[in-house]
Amino acid sequence: MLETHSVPLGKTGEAGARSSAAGAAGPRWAGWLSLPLGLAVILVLWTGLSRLYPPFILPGPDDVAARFVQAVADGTLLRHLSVTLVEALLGFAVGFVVAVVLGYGIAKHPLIERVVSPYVVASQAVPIVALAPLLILWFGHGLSSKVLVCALVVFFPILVNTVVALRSVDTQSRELMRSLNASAWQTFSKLELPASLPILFGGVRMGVTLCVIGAVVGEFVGADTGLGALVNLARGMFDTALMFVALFTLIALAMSLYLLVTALERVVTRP
Amino acid sequence: MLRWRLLLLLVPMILLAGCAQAGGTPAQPNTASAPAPAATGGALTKVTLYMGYIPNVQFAPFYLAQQKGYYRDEGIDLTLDYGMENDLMQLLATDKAQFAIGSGDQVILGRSQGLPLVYVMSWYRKYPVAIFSLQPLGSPKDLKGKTVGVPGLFGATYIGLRGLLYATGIDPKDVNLQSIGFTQAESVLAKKVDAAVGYSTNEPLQIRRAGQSPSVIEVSDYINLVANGLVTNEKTIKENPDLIKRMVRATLRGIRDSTYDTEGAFGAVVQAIPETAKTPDTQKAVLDASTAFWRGDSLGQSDPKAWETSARFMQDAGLIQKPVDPKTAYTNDFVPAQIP
Repeated sequence: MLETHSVPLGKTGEAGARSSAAGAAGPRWAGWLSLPLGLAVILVLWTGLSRLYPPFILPGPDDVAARFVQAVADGTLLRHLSVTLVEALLGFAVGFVVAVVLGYGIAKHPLIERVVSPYVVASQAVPIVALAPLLILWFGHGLSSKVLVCALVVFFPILVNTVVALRSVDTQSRELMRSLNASAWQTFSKLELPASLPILFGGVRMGVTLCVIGAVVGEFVGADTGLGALVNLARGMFDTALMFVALFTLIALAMSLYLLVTALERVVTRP
Repeated sequence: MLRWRLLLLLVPMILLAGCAQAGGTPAQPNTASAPAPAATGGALTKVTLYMGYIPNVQFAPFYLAQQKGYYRDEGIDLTLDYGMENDLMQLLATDKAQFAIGSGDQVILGRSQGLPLVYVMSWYRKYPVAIFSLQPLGSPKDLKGKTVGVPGLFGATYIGLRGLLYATGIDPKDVNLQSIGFTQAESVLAKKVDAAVGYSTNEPLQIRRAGQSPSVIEVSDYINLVANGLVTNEKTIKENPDLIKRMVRATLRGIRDSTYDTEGAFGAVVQAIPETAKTPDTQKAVLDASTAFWRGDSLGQSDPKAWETSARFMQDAGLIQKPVDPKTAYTNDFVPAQIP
């Protein structure tokens, strides 16, 4: 029951099993109430705190809600949201494909690992915020530079999970496939792919939240539309409530993508 | 259960605290070092003045006034600091800073969101923003359908462009705006954009030095907007009006001297920013172009018409949500009739 109200962090199967185990997660009503109650406490604290400061420092939930309604009504929010969503999803797709292909190579061929992995790790030491202006210089102010930033952010966790997933495939099963004279494709499709999906999905879940951050980093450097640009725009107009609206929308976007992946995972990995 | 009860106790306490504050004025940090009134030959008042840019030749009047001891004459020990104009206005609003250089549009934007900013001295007499292009620009109408680069959808360049479009009745949707960061001259030279918006005293000069002759449209030829000046907050006006008077007086002496004696002003710049000595021709050209924006009658006085125009334009163009009474945004009370 718990998982319908909270964002599952662990493997969905386990979370489900744990919450149905009687008493482990407290009485049933506590599970139902935990989310609204937690939200209510946060709202009350926020309201109290916001009364201590002028709205340009900390707008209250009422100010932010009013600004949200206005931004939805005049189409501002949807326009910026759709741009960020497109950038994030395209960036995710690019990063995912490259990471899985390279990850497969690394997992299967030690030589590729030896040649490639130092650069892959080194690339993670470069802060993406510092790289973004360069990417925009090279690839222009349009969509491609933002997609690239997203792809770079998404790439690493998916790569690592791909390698770990493929390596964790049980040796005995591999030997069984070999003894049955399975082709490389058969080994991949019948054994490696299904066996590595749970771990791979862990990487995808991480990547899908990170790709939103990637889009925003790209937009921060140079963009007119997108939620990152909206944050900058609101900042330039001292419109703190609008900044909150943009930030909450970013959170909602990342959470929706995460839940979508979890749902997909449940469908795909169903025994 | 004890934890729950404690939590329930906490909630009304917070609400009470909130209500108590909501009635009165917003809480303001009392940490600001309230400077003592003019010391008669005693200790100097420490003041930090924030400039909305990096150290630059355009701040010559301040370097000059500092080096000639004009601030010291007023009992002020001045430190210059730099930052983003937008951040500076927020520092003023929270009284973490008392003085900054900002433009009229920033004050109007801020006041519309409840920032208690007040503009107390005019410096640039005309709005120093221009649109420039390597293609011939006869009038602003020629911008229709063109790609125009701006650093971003904020700041003086964006406001200046919107002001120009507003004054000439061009729908902003007819112009293809593109955020290009602070790469206006390069982007125009590399033909990545058809035109770009920059400072009248800077980017057009850069393009000329690159051997091209840009066509330039000055925003100030079409709309009379309030440009850069000295900005403070309502708290300082209430608690330390005398300090503002002294700051304004010293600064105006620096501005006046710079417009008379550009050579002397440039000497002060080189002393303050030694790097400028490496490109004296460019720097002097920028300074010369800038002084043209500082000259005028009754130095320091804000033009009420420019304030009305600015406030009306920003309201009509949808740049501010809540209207701002321009009379609350500036005052000429601190500007001396005669600059000593």
